[in-house]
Amino acid sequence: MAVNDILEIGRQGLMANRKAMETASNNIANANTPGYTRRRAVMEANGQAVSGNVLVGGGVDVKKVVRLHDPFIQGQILDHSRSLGAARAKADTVHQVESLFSGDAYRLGGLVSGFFGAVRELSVQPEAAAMRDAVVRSADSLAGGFREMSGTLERMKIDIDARIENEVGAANGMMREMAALNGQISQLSRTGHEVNELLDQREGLARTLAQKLGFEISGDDQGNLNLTASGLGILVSGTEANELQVARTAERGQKAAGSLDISLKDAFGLRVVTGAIEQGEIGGLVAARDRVVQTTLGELDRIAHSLGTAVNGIHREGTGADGLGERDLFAVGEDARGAASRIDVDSGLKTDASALSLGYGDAPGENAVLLAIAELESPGVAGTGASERNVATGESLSVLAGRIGVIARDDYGARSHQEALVQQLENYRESLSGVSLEEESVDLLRYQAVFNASAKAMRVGDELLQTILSIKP
Amino acid sequence: MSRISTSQIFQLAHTNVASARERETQSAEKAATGKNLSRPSQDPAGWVQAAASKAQLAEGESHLRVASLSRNFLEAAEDTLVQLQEGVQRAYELAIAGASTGGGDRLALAAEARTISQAGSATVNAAFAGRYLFGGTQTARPPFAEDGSFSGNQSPIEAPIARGLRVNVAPPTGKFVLGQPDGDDVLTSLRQLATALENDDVDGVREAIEPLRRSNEQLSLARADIGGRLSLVEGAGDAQAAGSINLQDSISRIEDADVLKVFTDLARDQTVFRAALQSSQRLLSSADASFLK
Repeated sequence: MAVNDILEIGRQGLMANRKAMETASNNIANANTPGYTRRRAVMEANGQAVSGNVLVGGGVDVKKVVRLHDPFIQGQILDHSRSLGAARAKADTVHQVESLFSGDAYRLGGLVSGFFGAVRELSVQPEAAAMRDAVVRSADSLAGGFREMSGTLERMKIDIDARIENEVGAANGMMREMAALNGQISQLSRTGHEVNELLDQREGLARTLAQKLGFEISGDDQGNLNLTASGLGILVSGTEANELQVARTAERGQKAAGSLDISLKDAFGLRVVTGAIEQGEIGGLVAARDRVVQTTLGELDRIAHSLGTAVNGIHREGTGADGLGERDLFAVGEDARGAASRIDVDSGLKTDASALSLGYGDAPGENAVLLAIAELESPGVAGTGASERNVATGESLSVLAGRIGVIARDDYGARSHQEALVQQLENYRESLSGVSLEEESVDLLRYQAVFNASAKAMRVGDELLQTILSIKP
Repeated sequence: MSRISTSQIFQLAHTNVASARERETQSAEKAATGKNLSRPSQDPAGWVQAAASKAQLAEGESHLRVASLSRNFLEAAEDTLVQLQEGVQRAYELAIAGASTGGGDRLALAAEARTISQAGSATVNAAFAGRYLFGGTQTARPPFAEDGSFSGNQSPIEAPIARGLRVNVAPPTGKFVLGQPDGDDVLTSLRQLATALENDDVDGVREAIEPLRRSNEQLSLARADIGGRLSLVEGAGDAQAAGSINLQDSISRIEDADVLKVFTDLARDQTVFRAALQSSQRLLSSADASFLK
């Protein structure tokens, strides 16, 4: 081995350990960067050199900087992120629906009791004009309560659709970004460049997309990440990205007319894929909109229509204090759909409470109609003859609230479960890929020591060289 | 050995503090509201049960108000019947006296008998809370004309005083005042006596005695009938009041928090929160790599 080799080996030691220190420093700098995967400089001894008849080493080199990650855990995180996105979106929406039936916000039950109570009290004194006014006012409040709750649910649907539109727009941008990253990674890998930053970026993007859209993300032989909607089409394939579009469409299944549908636009045309999006935030929003908000609206419509038509059926047969009959108490329409949003007190009755039917004759003390209406409140009163057309509005509303409570409890549970699962997987990932400052600091000291020693070796080599050069012939 | 990254240490500290804070907030909310159940998802079945109990309670309170109004009408009718019966009893005494006295005395009795007869007609036209009590459902006009003719009807005015239970608040005019179908018309009996006394018609006076006795009995029966209805109203009210207490108890058991437990939990959760803060502080102080300096 020549003295120069000592200098060269020292130089390699300096270079390799400086690169290792750079890697450790980069790890430290990114300790708080979400999705960052720690790197490790892989050092390898450089061949062998002959010194006389003895084999000595040829120095060291950093062959590559590798990302320390486990594709299996990453796949698991992607899978569960899809479920977590759906669970969170659904639970958040259900929480809003549940709030309508909670605490002070829930007035409808009290309004139902108030209306039937006012009717019942009027039945004792049907000739009292002030009590007739009270019945009309309580009916107006009840109808207003239905409209208010229906309006809140309708606004919720509009808000959900706005969120779906935003999320789909964001997802389209991410799909294009993923296709572009696939291209960059493929190109740079072919030319031997480091692509660790891009891989981190793509993994983070894949995770956000999984959480948002819920479609399957899988790798291929070329190192691309692809996004597919199983059985429906491909959203991202290599460097190509298709597009999702939203449009207001007709009623279909649980989806109401005018709500947004999501379609995939690709080379084969435009196909509705809403039904296939069951996971991810968008899937959760669609499920919450169609299976919770719309179902609640439908049930509210049914209850309002049932109440309105039952009361009207009795009211029309009776006679008011003005001696006239065949009039409705509630304007609710024939169709149950939308009944909660349009139910109101009959306009004639609003201006003149003497149009309120009291009994079946024109005597001022007649109250049979009021008695029959009051009995609609109680569920299945035996022997009163009211059970056949009983609507039990208060009970129906309680059951609806209970049903939403069950859905909410399940959805909160599913959200907690998915959060715990993803957190667990994140812990696995972090224990492998996360940065430990202690570890990196120790590494820095380790590399610094070798760096210093390499410099010392060079100095020794230099001194040897100077010694040799100072030998006088 | 499991490797712990720096992020995990911070995440762990954050999770510990956040979950301790959440538990403390939940306990504080329970302590502040006194409610164990504030959303349906906390106990869907309990929520439905509490809502049904609240609806039943509201219905019961409405029944109580109906019962109170009904009692007012029935008591007004009873007072009227008492007045009428007192008149009939006095008329009966006048008839006995008129049947056993001389002509001059009968004329003296006639003035009082006529006054009683006129007062009787006015009494049965009594009104309460804007309603003529004895006209059935014809409540807007006096049911009896000056000549004693009846223009009301005998339709009941039923009031729902409990679930599935009604009481007729219209007094039994037909049976006990008009004497239908085979009784005596009370007002006619009073008028007959006054006329007989005025005419010094001793036979007429004697003939008026029996109808007045039967009228008195009719009115006793009428008062008993009204009394029975009042008892029904009272009973329904008592049952409703007892039911309300049970319902409130049932609602309270579902919705209200056990105060002792809530404050114990709050104290525990506050301690846990402080402990979480301290342990997190220690955890984080060891994560800043200062030991390597």
